[in-house]
Amino acid sequence: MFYRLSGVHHTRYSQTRQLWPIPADRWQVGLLLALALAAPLYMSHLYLSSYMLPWLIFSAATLSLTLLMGLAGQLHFGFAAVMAIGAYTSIHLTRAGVPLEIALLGAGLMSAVIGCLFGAAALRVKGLYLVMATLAMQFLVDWVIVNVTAISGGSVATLQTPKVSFFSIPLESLNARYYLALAWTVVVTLLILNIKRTSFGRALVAVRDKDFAAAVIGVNIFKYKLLAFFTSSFLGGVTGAILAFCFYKAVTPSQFNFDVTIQLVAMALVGGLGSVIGGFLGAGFVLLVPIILLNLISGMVSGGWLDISTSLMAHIPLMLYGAMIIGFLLFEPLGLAKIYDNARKYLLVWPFRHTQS
Amino acid sequence: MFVLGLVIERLLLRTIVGQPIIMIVMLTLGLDVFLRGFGPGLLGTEPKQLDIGLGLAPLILGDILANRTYVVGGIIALVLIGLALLFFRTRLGTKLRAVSDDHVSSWSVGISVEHAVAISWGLAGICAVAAGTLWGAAQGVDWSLTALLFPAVAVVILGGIDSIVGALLGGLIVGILGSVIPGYVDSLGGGSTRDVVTSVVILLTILIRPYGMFGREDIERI
Repeated sequence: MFYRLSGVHHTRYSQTRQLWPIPADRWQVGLLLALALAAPLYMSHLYLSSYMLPWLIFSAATLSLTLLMGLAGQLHFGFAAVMAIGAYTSIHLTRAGVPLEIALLGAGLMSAVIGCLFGAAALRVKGLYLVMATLAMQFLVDWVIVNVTAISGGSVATLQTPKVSFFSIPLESLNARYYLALAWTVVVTLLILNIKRTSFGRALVAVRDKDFAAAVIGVNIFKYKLLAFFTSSFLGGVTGAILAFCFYKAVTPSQFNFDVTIQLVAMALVGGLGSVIGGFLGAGFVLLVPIILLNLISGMVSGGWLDISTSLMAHIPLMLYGAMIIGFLLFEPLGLAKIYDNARKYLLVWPFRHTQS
Repeated sequence: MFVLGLVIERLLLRTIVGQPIIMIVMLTLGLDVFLRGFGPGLLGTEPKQLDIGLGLAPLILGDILANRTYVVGGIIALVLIGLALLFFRTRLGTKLRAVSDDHVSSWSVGISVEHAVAISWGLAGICAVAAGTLWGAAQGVDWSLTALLFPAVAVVILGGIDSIVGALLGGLIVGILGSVIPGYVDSLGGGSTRDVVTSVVILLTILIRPYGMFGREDIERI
């Protein structure tokens, strides 16, 4: 109904090869973008700053991770460390007087170089061993950040972000920070969407599916694995910097610990590995659903419907989060993106279901 | 705990047989997160004393004063390792080793892979309970016991993922390094060097000998 294919006749190759060949999809993307652009007009300050902003930034982080895990098939359990490197680099650069635009690039490069150093382990091992190597990276980077006082200022210290402006727009107001985060998310989204249809993206997919086979058809595995680590770490580093400047406005080591890594991997998995829409859906689901369910349960408790102790109450978000990861892996391993795709395919030919392939 | 291991295997792991490794890793991590909320949520977060009836008086062996808990723990650990070595020589142990080699060929010679995986989960549950009880008796029980995961994996990787001797030696090495090096380094930095030592052990193992000290040279397991 909403997606009617009738009347869509592509007459040139460039039309079939565009990002969204079906007009209804283009309308949908345009509408969502317009809604996101107009969000400060209709959303309250609270919703914008504590739901919309983290959702956008974590979507960008999930997309950077999904480039590595979904497209290139390299597992990474140290992505929060990559983001931490970016955040700390950008803060120290801006404190030294470097403009934010260059500091963001510097943050990306720093993350990419360090990420590649550890990613070099990926060239020797796969699977579980790669998980352990990147996990070791997470703990090492955490430790260095906490213990080198020149970086963090001590284990419990908080570094405030200095007053900065992005292309002469001061990042003081919430709106400015929101639009910067939105712009970065759009850039990452377009990048990943386009990488999927370049030779680079196809080489990554070949490496993911079977690296020996990829080598046989002439894909340089060494080069593409390293490139995947580099690109993904670069995006992750800049996202970390954006997270520090736009959302937290300060950095502490605990913002980027191992739990954040699990959260990011959970976002990528719950959304659906390798899918762009899945990155957004997964980040939103993992961030927001525990909060909503917790509000629901606390509402039931205060209404006298349920009798739960406060200590159980405090741990319910963690339980829900764990149960959610397990549930998705068991019942929909392809994630929210697959559910979305099923609905879309159904609506594409509704009400003539027999035409569905 | 044997039963809990069986139940986990039957309900969760059985359904994702044949899925990529990331699924299994993430499933077990999700389980970890869930239990980390479930346990303290029901039992409270404060550290608990675990008294296993050994008494606090030190054991005097010649010139050495030994903590009773540590001695008993060491003995139990040795017994478990001995039992494991013996177990792998039994009929069931041979089946388990066959399954760990190759699922499909074990099926084709009539081994029930599901059965074997379930038993391995149950046995792992028993061993983990023994280790957790001993650790808890020595250090007190609270939810930071889950931090044992990382050193345990380091031990397995260092020793070689399919070798019991490797696990024994790897455990000794990781345990000693993790206790001795922080003693020297903690005063320089801010502390908590133990995780770093473990990380370095993992990284060096993977860079130099990915299959561990005693593992066989095919590293694409699981």
